[in-house]
Amino acid sequence: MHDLDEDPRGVRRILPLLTVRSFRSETDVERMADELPDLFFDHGLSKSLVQDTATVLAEAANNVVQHAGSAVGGFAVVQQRYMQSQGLRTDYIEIAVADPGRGIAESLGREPADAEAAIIDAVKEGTTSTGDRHRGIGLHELSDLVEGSPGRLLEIHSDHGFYQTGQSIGPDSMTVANRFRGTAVTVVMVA
Amino acid sequence: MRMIDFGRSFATREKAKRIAKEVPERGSLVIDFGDVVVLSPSFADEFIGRIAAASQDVTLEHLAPELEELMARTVERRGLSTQVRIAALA
Repeated sequence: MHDLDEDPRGVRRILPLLTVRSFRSETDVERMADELPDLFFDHGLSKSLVQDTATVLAEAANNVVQHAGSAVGGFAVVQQRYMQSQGLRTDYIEIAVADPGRGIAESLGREPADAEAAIIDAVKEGTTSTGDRHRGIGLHELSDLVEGSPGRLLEIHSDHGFYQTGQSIGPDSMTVANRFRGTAVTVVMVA
Repeated sequence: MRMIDFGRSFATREKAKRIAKEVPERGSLVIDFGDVVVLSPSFADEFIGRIAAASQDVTLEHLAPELEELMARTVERRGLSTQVRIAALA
């Protein structure tokens, strides 16, 4: 078991839960999901938080395996962070899944210049490149998960497109100058 | 059928297909989710779709509260509410 990293300023402390992993297949995704319960229970985190974290990790990673076309697969990390301000401590779970693949726009058959609009479409229920109407639930589920509870934020960065949503900020998107070659999905949740 | 015999975590469509192959084709089927900790939406969607094709009357029981909501949403999205029933926790 790790101890929370001791920051002499006492502001931010980090506990790695699932250290950075590379994955290429659904079997790798299953392995990561298998590890989460014990990692969370060892640190006193709840079953519902395990389920929500696994949902984010699995859906984002499944998207990489099925759609990214990345030669090196993807990378995932889960960590706990707490921030202390004026004597009040708030714990967060942070999940990040990224890949250097074709990006959301190309995987939906769109031009890279349409990256922002492509992300917005990808978050809608039922958007998929597979042609199966039951697919395409992944990013939509993540959006529902963060919008349904306070203290949660979803960010998606793909090519020049950036999207974020949460209960307090609502859906927002923009085209940004810095390009992420592939897709990065991050979710922050109050623990 | 006890899901715990296949693990505590179920995260992918691939695993759903693998387990569904082991579901016997019969008129009525009870699937026990006791002690299961993780279900991803993709797993749930694939699994429900496949078991509903194998059985006319499916009961899902002992789902933890945090998993029950996901399963209920999945069954509704698939339009299988009359075929797949979720047993309430005692």
